[in-house]
Amino acid sequence: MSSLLAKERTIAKVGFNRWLVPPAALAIHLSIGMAYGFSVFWLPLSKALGVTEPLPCPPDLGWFEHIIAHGCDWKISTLGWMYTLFFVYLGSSAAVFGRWLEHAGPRKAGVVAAWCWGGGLLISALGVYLHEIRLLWLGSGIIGGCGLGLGYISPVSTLIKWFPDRRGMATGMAIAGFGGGAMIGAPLAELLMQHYATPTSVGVWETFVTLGIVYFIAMLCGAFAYRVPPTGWKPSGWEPSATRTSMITNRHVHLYRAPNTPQFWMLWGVLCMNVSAGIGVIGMASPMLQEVFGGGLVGLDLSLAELSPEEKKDVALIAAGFTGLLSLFNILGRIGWASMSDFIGRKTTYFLFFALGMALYASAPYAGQIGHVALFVALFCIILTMYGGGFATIPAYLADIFGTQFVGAIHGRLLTAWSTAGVLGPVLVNYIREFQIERGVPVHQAYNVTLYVLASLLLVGLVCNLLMRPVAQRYYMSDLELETERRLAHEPAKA
Amino acid sequence: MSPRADRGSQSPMERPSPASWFLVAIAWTLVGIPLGWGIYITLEKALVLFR
Repeated sequence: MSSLLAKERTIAKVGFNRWLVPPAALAIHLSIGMAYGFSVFWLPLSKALGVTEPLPCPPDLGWFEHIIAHGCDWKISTLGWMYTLFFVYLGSSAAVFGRWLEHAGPRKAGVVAAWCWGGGLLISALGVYLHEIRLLWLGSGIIGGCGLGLGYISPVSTLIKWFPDRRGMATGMAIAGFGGGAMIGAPLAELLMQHYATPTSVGVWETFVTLGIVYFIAMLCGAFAYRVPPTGWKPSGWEPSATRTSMITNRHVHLYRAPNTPQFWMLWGVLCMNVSAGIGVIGMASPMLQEVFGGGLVGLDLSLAELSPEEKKDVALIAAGFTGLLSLFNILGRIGWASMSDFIGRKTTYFLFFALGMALYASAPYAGQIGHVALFVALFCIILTMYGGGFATIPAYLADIFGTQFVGAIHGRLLTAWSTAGVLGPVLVNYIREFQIERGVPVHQAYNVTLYVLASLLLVGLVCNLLMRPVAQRYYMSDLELETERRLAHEPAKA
Repeated sequence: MSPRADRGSQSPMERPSPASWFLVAIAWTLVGIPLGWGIYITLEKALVLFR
């Protein structure tokens, strides 16, 4: 088995088609992307014991007693910790195991990710069956989170080496899969829960088992389809010098030296600010549309609070459609912007994200004020393309600046910016909104200041991006260091 | 670069074998079907916005 997973076994033979690598990467990213869709489980899990309605815990039960209690249902806020675990462990495992991945190869990393993600779901199923929240957090949150990190970075380096002429497009296709995973996983989970539900069960543990097996198989297929190009491989007819600019190096920075460069931290800031602003918007998209437009969404000149329960249900349905539309534009942005960055350059692409983003964030309150739903929706759809584009373009930006030898591992370390943004974005949005409402600002206007604050985050990102310069010569690896690293990475000498 | 351009520009040693394009079609279909289903469901829900 170990030889099957050896990196030497994954080196492509003559006649291999590089267009087989993106679907392999997609199989893994579409599987782990279900992490975004986990909220479909919260409502059924909040009545896992009561089945028809939640079985509440005694009101005097503390937080720690609540998480070890077996006789009452979990609160949605307790279940929501899963997202924090996902993003913290995704970033941490990508940072810690990145170097191992460069040496062990994408197949081994993909197989470990499959065990972690699929196995984590099975542990979670046991947690639901035994009504033990700690098993749920351990299974999907911690072990599954490590699978997310490894799976996420597993194809990056390989794709960049196969597509030196289209780095952005190649990584964009894979990373779009992470955005698209929830679009498949969430409705599939809903269908499975309906299928498995009985008068005594909400059908969640059975759904976890099914999804765990399906994702495990899909990820194994992806991992075994990975092939790495021989060292020095390049598409015929393509010369590196043809596309080389001062912002694209043909040398390599060692993983351990990259964090000592200002460029690493500038890119960390670029990713963190872009993601913080985007996550902030995603988190408030549904309530914002409902509270800003209220009855206007169903043709009534009333605020949300004045609507009847039936009308509120219609408004919530429209808001759910809006959230779905945003996720679609998030994916389109991943492929579109990352592909476009191959032509206009990475620095220009991020300049557009930040400059255009600031203008759009600042315009959104105006669209709300004049009651123009279509304009409001269009603004946020474009914003979401840039959020997705930011994720998808960063691996190519890293390869341009630090070279390709350690790009997967450096990308892994940079993902700590995502973990930070996962906390920063929602906290900023929630606290600013609460502060506004406490100060007496009407609910439908409480989002305006939040949007201006998010625009200011983009200004910080814009400055970081403008400060990007090529790495100083002293940080690059010598030929001897490069040769040693290639040997450690089981890469044969150039043919 | 499109797959067609790939085929034309690579030297015989590097040119993907003709059979590999069949595998490429299968691989993309396997990931494309679930992705297409997910996009269809999302669009169906999003249509409410435009009614």
